[in-house]
Amino acid sequence: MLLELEDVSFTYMERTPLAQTALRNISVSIQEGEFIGLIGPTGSGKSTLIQHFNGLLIPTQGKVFVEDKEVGVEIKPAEARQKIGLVFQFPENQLFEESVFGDVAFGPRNLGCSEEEIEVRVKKSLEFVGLDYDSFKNRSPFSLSGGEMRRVAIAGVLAMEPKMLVLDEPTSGLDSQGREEILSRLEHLHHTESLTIVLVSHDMDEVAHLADRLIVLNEGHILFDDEPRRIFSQAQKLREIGLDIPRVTSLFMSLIDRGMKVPFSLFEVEQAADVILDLFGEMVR
Amino acid sequence: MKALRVTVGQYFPAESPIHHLDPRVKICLTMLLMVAIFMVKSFTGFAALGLLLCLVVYVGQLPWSWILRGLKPLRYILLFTLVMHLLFTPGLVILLLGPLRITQEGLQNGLFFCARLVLLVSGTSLLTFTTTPIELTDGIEYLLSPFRRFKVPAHELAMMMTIALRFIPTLLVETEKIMKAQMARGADFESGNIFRRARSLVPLLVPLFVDVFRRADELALAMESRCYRGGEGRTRMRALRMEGKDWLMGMATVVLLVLAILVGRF
Repeated sequence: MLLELEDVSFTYMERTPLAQTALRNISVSIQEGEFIGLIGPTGSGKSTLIQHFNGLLIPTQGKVFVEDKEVGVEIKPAEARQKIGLVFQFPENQLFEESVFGDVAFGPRNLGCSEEEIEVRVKKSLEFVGLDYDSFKNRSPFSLSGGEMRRVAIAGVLAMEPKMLVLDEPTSGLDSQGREEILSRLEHLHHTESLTIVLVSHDMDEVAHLADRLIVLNEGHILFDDEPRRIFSQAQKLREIGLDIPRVTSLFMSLIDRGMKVPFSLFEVEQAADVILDLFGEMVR
Repeated sequence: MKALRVTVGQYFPAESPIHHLDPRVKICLTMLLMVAIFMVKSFTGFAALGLLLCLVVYVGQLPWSWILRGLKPLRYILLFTLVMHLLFTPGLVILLLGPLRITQEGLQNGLFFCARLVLLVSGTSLLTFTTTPIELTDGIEYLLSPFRRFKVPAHELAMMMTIALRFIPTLLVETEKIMKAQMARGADFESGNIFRRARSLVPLLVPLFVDVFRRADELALAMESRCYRGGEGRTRMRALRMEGKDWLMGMATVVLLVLAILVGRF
């Protein structure tokens, strides 16, 4: 098992009047090669949860295992951080070096890689996020566009060569083109490198067609942990906590309600359009 | 990162007569208190002032733990003061420790100066415990306004203070976020010698500065687009007004302070 959380609870400012429980009895395990969507309304504990994955936060109760070794006991948090790459929200705010190369090299340098190794890793990571190594390596990260800065920041985590990549709302604040680019890069990474990915989001449309497993978090505990289509069949419960099912699924569900024969587990607009066109053709005939 | 446990300069919300007192009165009284602390020359005077402060803490519904925690950063300075006076004051020797002679005058002086420091710090922290930062800057602005004739930008100074205070928590949150992001990339802020540690702060400080400048730009833009142009001709939503209770409380405290000074002079 790549990552395992065993009955994890976490309280901020424990033993003070300001104590606030953010996670309650979370048990979850993640295998190599999975693409997981982590979804929940604002304040449900998503960001707190992922900081437990690599030892940035230590649970007030319960245990975290990375590759079957308990974090903080059998494996140092620093080592866990190399294995589980964590990309924070608005990661472009962490850029600090004079050049794109220097910034992406920060992680591998902290790991103690040789200069040759660093160059190989930086080159590979930048290509992964779709930035040309030769034209970007010497530019200042502060002269790039928002989408490019974010991709440089993601490359900075990829250069640690983690087994698993966790991204907290990687598309927030980007335009639709930047959003599409990041998501397609993630899909590509997952397929070619079989990198394990956890994508945190509050937007169902975004994760629905990418993830093969969804974890829904609400008020610090896991509400659902299942295949997307099985979860979307519980539309009512999702709406109660302020989440929605993908718009395409919602449309198809109303079609099914009206007796149309359409598949239920479809999330992509293009495919949906084809199905509806076929349906329309049949009706005309 | 450890949660900051410093209480000096913090506000303790409560509904007490002290909290509702006009901030200008509180600022003036605090200044007077400082004068009194320096004018008092005996332990009886300190006891009187201490009693007065205890009364304020009681009426202001402040927790004693806050007062004590506020004094905690002072402990080394207090120890240093006491030891210095103990060792280096000539006079009647009461204790001989090898080459060290501890005198009665040394003990007296040491305790005297420690008492003065404790009273100064806890007295001034009572002001910030019972006054919101906004009230405080409003009061300072008002008290500075007579000096505008000498080109002291009272309003601008107060506005700068308000903004600085407003952004302290924001920047603390931001610092923690950047720290965690860099730790996720293998940064180590805790080990190594002083030079390594100073160097390891670069990945924290550069993004923080970028963030501060960005926020400053945005704030300036937001203020200008709402037609802010400094204090000239500006009216306020909550104008400070002295009421009967403010005069009464102010006068009563002045009388008590003067009494304490008189007691302490001899």
